[in-house]
Amino acid sequence: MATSTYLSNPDVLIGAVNVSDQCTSVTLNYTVEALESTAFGGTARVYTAGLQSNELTLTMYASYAASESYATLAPLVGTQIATIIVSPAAPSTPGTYSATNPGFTISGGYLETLPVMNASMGELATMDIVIRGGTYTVDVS
Amino acid sequence: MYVVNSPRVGIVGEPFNPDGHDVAYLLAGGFIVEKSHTKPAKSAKTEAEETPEE
Repeated sequence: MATSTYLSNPDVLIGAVNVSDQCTSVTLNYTVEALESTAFGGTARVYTAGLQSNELTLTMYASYAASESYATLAPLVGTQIATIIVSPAAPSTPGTYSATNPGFTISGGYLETLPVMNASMGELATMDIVIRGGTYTVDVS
Repeated sequence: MYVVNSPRVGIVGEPFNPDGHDVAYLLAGGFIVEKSHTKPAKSAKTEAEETPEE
């Protein structure tokens, strides 16, 4: 049995803009590419660290009103986003994270695609946003 | 001086610290607005104020 559990209710900041109330899903994969360094004489494959290859996926409700999802994301397509911070919960003081509520940060992630229309009859429209690359750091202060 | 214009970036009406943020993006999206430091011009003194009636 888990001794500590977590009800997902993360906080999502794109730059200074908080989009938590538009997000229903967030997945951040911190990846360091594995480069094979196996050599003669070895008995098993061996890998060494390559470059980071991070990916952040957000599912957001589509909204075309001022300061909402479309207005927030449209100017960022084709750019490296300065910072995106996701944390397990909203920090009690904005911008202040901790070891138990770390701010997982992607700096310079690239937004390639914005699905400007993804609508089905009788359902709220959503946008699946994928931010590729960028440098991963963890803010605990 | 920048002021918060959307609750997505803070408390509306509070000053916004632009350090480390893409100010052009925030201004274009209407998330913040720029306020001038200049004080409103004082109204000119009228002749009546300068020379009180005797």
